This record gives sequence, structure tokens and C-alpha cells, in this order.
Amino acid sequence: MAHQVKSYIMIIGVGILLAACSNGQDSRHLRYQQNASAGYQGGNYTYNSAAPYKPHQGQSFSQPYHMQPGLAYNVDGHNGQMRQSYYPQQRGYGQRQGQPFPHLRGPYKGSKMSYENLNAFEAPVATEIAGVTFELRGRLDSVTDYSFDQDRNADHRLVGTHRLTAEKQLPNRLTIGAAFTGRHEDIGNSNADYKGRIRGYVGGSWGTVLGGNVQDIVYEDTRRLRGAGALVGRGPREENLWGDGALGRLNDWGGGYQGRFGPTTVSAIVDEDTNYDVGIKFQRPIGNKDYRLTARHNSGTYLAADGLTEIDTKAVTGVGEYVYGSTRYDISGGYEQLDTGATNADRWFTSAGVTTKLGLWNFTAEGHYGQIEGQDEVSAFAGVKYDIARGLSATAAVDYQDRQINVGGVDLVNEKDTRALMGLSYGF
Amino acid sequence: MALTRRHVLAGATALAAGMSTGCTAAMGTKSSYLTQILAPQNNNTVFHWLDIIMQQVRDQRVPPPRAAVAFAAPLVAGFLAVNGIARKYAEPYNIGFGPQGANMDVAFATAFATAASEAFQQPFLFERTAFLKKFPGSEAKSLGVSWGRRVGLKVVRMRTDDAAHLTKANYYRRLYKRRTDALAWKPTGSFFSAKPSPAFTSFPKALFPGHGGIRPWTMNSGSQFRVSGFYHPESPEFAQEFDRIRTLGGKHSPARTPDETEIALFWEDGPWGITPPGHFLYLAVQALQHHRLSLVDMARNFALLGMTQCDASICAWDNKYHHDILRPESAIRARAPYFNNRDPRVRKHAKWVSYIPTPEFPAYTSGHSTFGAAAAEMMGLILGHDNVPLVGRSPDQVLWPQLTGVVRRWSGFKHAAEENGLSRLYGGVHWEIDHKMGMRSGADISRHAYNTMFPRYA
Repeated sequence: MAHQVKSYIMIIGVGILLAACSNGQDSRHLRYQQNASAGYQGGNYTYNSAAPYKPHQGQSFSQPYHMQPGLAYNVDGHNGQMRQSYYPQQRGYGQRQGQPFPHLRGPYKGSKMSYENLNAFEAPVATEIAGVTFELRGRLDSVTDYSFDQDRNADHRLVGTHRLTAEKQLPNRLTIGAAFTGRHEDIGNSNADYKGRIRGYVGGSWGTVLGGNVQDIVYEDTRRLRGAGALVGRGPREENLWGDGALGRLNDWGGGYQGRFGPTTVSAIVDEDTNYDVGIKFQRPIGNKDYRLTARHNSGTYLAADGLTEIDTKAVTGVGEYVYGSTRYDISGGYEQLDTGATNADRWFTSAGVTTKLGLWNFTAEGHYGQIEGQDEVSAFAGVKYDIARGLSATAAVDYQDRQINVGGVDLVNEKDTRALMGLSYGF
Repeated sequence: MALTRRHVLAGATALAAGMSTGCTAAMGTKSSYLTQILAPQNNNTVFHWLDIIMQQVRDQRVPPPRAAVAFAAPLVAGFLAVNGIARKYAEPYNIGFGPQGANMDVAFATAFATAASEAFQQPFLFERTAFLKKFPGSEAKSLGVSWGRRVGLKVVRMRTDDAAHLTKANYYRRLYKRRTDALAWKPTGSFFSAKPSPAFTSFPKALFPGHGGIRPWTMNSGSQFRVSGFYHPESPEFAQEFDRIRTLGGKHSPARTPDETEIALFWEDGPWGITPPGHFLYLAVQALQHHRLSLVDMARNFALLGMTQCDASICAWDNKYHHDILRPESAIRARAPYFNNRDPRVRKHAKWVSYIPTPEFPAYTSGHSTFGAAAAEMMGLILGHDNVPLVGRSPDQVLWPQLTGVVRRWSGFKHAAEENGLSRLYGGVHWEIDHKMGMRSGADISRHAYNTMFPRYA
């Protein structure tokens, strides 16, 4: 519990610190700036355009712009010509350049936390050195989950992730780059773990060739998108819905290709053990809905729930999604062959979800049903996320899974649990 | 699981089949934008390829300033290729003369697609093949392909290191000094009033702060048409603007008429559309299709439009990040007490929200207005008048499904540009001065370009 409180305090503390660092609106800075080079003709304050702007006064336009009540249009009415001084009001005020306002009302606080605080990293931590663009992104998640079925204890973890990319466009317009991502997880009791991943790429108009830790490239291109409630640290792929998609994965190291052709993107990866993953995604708005269709075929390996049996897999998966207004609906289905060596098992699976957004609130509900050799696997998820401030969000979710499947004496999956999750995340 | 030759073949076949679905929608289909306004008999090579990249802007959800950049190079490359053969207009890039007898349509298409491939980072493989198949094999076709390729690559090389690639990341590149006073822009809240798709984050980062540093096509520099400073926050004019936008652009504003409400959404040109630069190219097609122009003249017109739309984006973004002026939503919801304005109307309304989503970049000047005015001015110069009845649907009906079936009409380009700029006031996301100064600089960009680019050989 102390660990949990500590990490929540840490995230909030980071937020407050960033707000304090970034607040440029305190009383010392509340003065009107006037840039000496504002006019494009060096020191001439007005914009000396040869031909002044004339508003349109066509017949079909209901009312001339400058005639609308309350609009200070600064047009004197003679042939639409601007007055000689375009900003007459600024002449007098300009004398106060550099002077603080005389009637300050105290340090600026903002109307609410979400409005102007937590801005320190509003521009990503990025720079350019010798034509190479470096960009750093990071995220800190503090997650607490409570199991209703198992130990009935609240578990807590703090997960920090980062991604550092370096990219340069060569004179032949190929783009060369590398991305280094890392994840540090602290689950209390002095248990901490860090894992880094790296990939390199070269890309141009014919697509991008990648190498390194690229095992999830196709999966991420073709999966059902994560909705509200996605928290870092949930399973190997941060999945919301247990069992969604194929079980088999590629090994860590591999290489492949990603490319775009019209509204379609294709991707293909081969890993160090010649497992492969190919996918295709088509996305295009038609009428007033946006459609996204994906198909994926992969071979891979899956470690059974007994922790010992390594299973070869082959799967085909498809996803259909459409967005209408503020809501996204999606559905997926697939078939997977599981080869344990001693026996084969057939698995089919399907899932569906809906995610909607209302202001700062995001809601997701999704469910999964499948069978392995006639034995059921079921999971469900409901999540809500509230965007508290720039980079800061709170999440609450409930998930359920009943996936206890034994084939040929091997526990392929053995999970039955209902959990409640709460999390606080800060990212930049 | 071992990878066999059978697997590889099956995968390759599946990928090829999938990729073949990747073709741009053909003219005449629902997904083609120009089908809405282009009479089939008026279609030509320029319109054909413009429709392809418009769809690409939509399919890749290219943001407006990037779309403006992406429209320009292909249109310029296509023009330079046919002009090299026709030898009609002078150009500053030393392209030289093309082979006599080369097929100009083929040359345009090849040069256009070569430049578009770089702009959109995809090869347009199927689109090129399908287009070239229309022409039987001949020396003229071969000459057109080789000349078009040469010109396309020259344009591509010409634009290498134009700083466009550096603007992909949303960081400041130290091009501009940030304000620290009460007018300073900060990314404005979230989508408080709209019901955005889950695809949008609530707190987006500053959009392309480095875009103003891109090398322009027609301007001498990105800051050539930089406008003078914003209102002093204590001024009565600022108070007037503050009150006007508060009353006009709020989510539930009773001052906004139903027509103005429709205008605010219609011109929003969201991510599932063709963006404001694409919207005005769409209107230009509508007007120019009825003029019996040669290919080189039509290509020149669209090259000028493409270049000036690109420069409008550079100019607007230069102004935005140079002046770094806050959006009305920030001012009305939070900053009002700190403007020290004595007008009682300048007070905080903590629950005020703009009618349309406030964009994630500074206000001054309006990109919409700059794009619109640049296009209207250029079309006025090309046509010699502005008496051009125009009609159109909103390109983005995914974010705004309430626009389904809505058709708007304009008496000419200036009318359309004015309505486009005013839509941002009705939506509550711009100050009036953002619009006025954007209109002025947009028009100046086009006048400058028209007077300096591609004169006819004497």
C-alpha cells in the first residue's frame, strides 16, 4: 500500500513540478511584448501591402462583413480601403513596450488544472544535431489492480517507458533512422525490471525496410485498436482484452518491410527462426464513415500456461472497423492452428468493441469469445479514461476472463479472473 | 515453424492481391472528389492526377500545411515537363527543353507521379501503370516517359533539403522565440465542444512549429509577407474582438445564425477531407474545366495554384509561430483577467467553449484565410474576373456527418474565400484580425507569384 501511495504521489508530484516549471504566466512576465521586427519592412509597424485587403461583398453573402454589428473592421467605407494606420490603437499602447501591466491581479493560475498547466513538455523533447532529428517521448504509469477471484489483494506496479528516435534524410531522399524503446517496471518488494528494444530503418517512396526488435510491427498495423483503459504493463502486448487475436508471436529479432499503396499499407516481417507475419490494411472514408479493414497471416510460437510447452502456431486474422462521428466500432475474427508436437489443436476466435469519446471522457466496451478444440474461452473489458490535463490521465477498468483450456494433457491457457484496475498516467 | 517456398509464394500472392486494392478510386466513383464537380467530357490529365493526390491527402489524413507542401511539387513537376516540350513559358529552374514530339500527357503524368511519390512517400505504382496503359507504345510515349522522369527527378532533387522533412516532428527547432506575456499561445485545451473521434487525443501538441522554415516556391523567404503585431491586449479594439468572438463563436451562441453555424462546420476541412488547400484546388477545377486551355496552360495554372498554396502555408505558419498569439478559447476561458483591459466585456468565462475544435497551433494569422485568399487572388488573376458561380459539398463528412447532403454555393472565389475565413470566427477559433491579415498576406503571395513566375516567352 505504501508503495502504491508513493507512486501516485510521484506522478502527481511530477505533474505539479512540471506545471511550476512551465508556467510562464506569473506576474513577472505579464507584460505585452512587441517584436521590433514585426513589420516585414523592418521597423515599419504597419503592413505596407501595396493592395489592401478587400472583403468580398457578393450578392449572395447575407451581409457585408464590416456591416455586421459589433465587428470592428477598421474599414472606413470608402471603396473598402483600409485606413492609413491599420492598427491605430497600437500607436499609443506601443509606448508601454517592456513595461509590466500596472494593475496585475496576482500570479496567473489558469481556470482549471487541465487548461494551461503541465505544459513543460508540450513540445516534445526534440532537437536537431547535424541534420539528425532526435525525439524523446516518455510515459509513466501507476497501476493498481484488484482480483475478485484470486488472491483478493491489490497489486500495484509503476511502469516507465521511453522512446528515443533519431532520423535523418539523406541527400538521395532516403530516410534513415533508429528507435530505442525501453520499459522499466517496478512491482514493489524490490522487484524491478528493465528491458530495452532497438530497431533501425531505411525508407523512401517505395516503403521502409526495418530490422531489429520488430516482432510486433504487423500486429500493431492490423490489430483492433486499443480503446479507453489501455494501461502500460498489461500483458506482453498491453492488450485490453485477453485472448484477442492470435496467440502465436514472432521472436524478438527480425526484419521486414512496410509500404503504402494508395489507401493500403502492407507489412511483412520474418524473425530469426523464419517465423513470418504478413499483413495488409485498407483505410478510407466512404461517405460519412471511415472504414478500416485489415488481414493478417502469421506463424509463430506460443508458450503454454504450463510454462514449459512451446507451441508452433499459424493463424489468419481479420479486423473490420468503422468510425461514425465520435464513435468507433470494430470486430475481428480468426483461426489459429496450434501444434504442440504431440497433438494439434484448432482455435477460432472473435471479438468486438465500441469506443466513444465525449469531451475529455473516453469509454470502451469489448468482448471476446473463442474455442480451442471445442472448449470455450471468454473475456470482456470495460474501461473509462479521463484526460485530466495535458499528458495526464486517469483510468478505471474492469476486465474478466475465463480461459481454462487443456488439450492432450497440456494447459494451453489457464486463466480465470475478474479484476478491477485503476491507473494514473503521465506522458510526453 | 519453418518458412517454406510455398509460404513465401502464398504470402507474396496475398500481398500482391491486397496491394492491387490500393489503387486510387477511379473518376466516376464515390471516393473520387473531382467526380462531384467535373463533367466527364472535361476531364484531362491534370485533373486526373490532381484527383489522385487529393484522395491521397484524405487517405493519409495529411494535415493542412503538409498537404499544401505535398500538392505543390507534383503540380510544378507536371507543368515543367509539358512546358519543356511546349517551350511556352520561361522558368527559373533551368529545366531546359524537352524532346520535340514527346507525348505531353505522358510526360506530365510521369513527372507528376515521380514528384508525388516523394511527397506522399508511396510509389503510385498502380496509378502510373493504369495511366500509361491508355497510350499505345510509340516513340512519343517513350520520349514522354523519359523526359517526364528526368524533370520529376530534377524537381525532387531541387526540393531536397528544403527543410520540409524536418517539420514532420512537432517541435520548435529554435526558429522562433516563444512569447512569455499574457498573449502567449499554449495548446488550447481539448475538444471541449466537438464530439471528436477516438482517433484524436484530448491534448494534442503544437502542430509543426518548424513549418515556417520550409523553403518557399515563390516568396523570397518564409517571412516575406510576415504581418505586423497583434492588438495590444489593453486596447479597445482587442476588447471588441474579444466580445465579438465570445458572443459569436461559442458552442451555444445565440448570436450565430443557422447559416453561420453551417459555414463553421462546412469549411472546417477536417482530417477526413482534402484540407483547405485541397478544397480550393477542387474549386479551381470546377472553374477551369470550362475553359478550353491547352495542357501546358492548364498545368501552369495549377502549378501557380499549388506553389502559392504551399507558400501560403509557410507564410501562415511563419506568422503563427513568430507572433505566438493565443486562441480565443484560451483568452476567454482563462487569460481575460491578465489582459488588464478596462473594458468590462473582457472578463473570464471559464465554461466558454468554441463551436468547432480549436486547432493546436497559434492563432495569428489564420491559415484558412491565407489559403483562401491566395487561391482567390490567383484565380482572379488567371481568369481576369471573379464572376464564377461555384458550388460544393464539404469534403469531410466523417467528422461532421451532419453535413451529409449539404451543398453551398458562391458567387466567385473571393466570396468562397471570405466565407472560408469567416467560418473560423463563427466557429470561435480565430480572432477577426487573424482573418483579415491572413487574407491580405494570402492575396499578396499570389500577386507576387503571378508577377514573377513563369512569364511567357517573348
